[in-house]
Amino acid sequence: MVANLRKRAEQDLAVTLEGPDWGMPIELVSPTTGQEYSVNGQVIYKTLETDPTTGVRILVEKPVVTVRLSSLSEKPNPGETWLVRIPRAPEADEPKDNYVTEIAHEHGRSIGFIRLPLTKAGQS
Amino acid sequence: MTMKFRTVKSSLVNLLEAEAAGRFRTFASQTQGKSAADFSGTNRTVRVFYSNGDFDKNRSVRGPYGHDLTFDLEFIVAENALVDLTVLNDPNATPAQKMSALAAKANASDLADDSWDEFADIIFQIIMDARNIDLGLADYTVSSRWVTNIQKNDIEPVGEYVVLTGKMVLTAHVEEIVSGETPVAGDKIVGTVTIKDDPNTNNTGVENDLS
Repeated sequence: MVANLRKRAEQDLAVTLEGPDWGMPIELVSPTTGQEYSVNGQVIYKTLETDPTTGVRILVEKPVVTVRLSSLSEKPNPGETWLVRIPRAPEADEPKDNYVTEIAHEHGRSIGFIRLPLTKAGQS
Repeated sequence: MTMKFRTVKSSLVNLLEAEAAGRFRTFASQTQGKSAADFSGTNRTVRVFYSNGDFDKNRSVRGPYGHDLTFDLEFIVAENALVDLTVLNDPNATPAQKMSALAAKANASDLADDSWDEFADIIFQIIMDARNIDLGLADYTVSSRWVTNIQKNDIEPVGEYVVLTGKMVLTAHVEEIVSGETPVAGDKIVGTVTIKDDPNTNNTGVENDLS
């Protein structure tokens, strides 16, 4: 039986998000169980140039991680702070940097993915 | 002769640099396209620039010219979140330890807000210290130095760093003396001035002997 388009789009995430061409290794640590999860997902590194009222121009990296919900046995909920480790650059075997989820995530309820904007984490 | 507002600006920058004690940095110009990471922690930055000047027209057209200065001291603070990474990245840490570490995270926005407030406090204390009434210059070079306004902007929370900017407005007054591009030296008057007091007549007078 042919799955409906929505289900097929979700199944396609195995290629578009997690496949070898686009997927990058991502590690997540849950704040409610302390468990670590390793999945493949999409990492976008964007640079945001801010221009507030003082005319200041500051370049801020704006990394966003997108992962397939069905690949996570535990899903981030609104307001939770997860630790997320992503490669420093989209290259194989790049060392990972630590981030946390402070900004509200976007939940792709239509197709089954979640987008996590990241805040850099330093040592306390 | 250089206009005094430039001298005041240089002195203000030097004063802030001398008093920084590793707590912040001072720039004398607007930087272009710096990264947020460059402004984090004690690299929070105050940028000093002359933004406005008013001249009282009801003065002598020959000078000196009263110049009301306005300086904008722009603050830039950037902070990331803080969490115990030694626990979170320890492969031997238990899930309970990791949960505790994440629960104890310090929010980037809270850290940025606290840092900005502390920064404004430090700069205000330096500028308004009575010992700095002349902003590091000779007596009576600058008068009426006053912080008229502090403004904090909204947090820019998007991105790996939280960025928070704002400014402190400082005003002062100087007397600008214009000597032109090729000043002419004034004549000198050399002489002796004796002030005489005659106790018998209760007269006091001045005896001039000018040559």
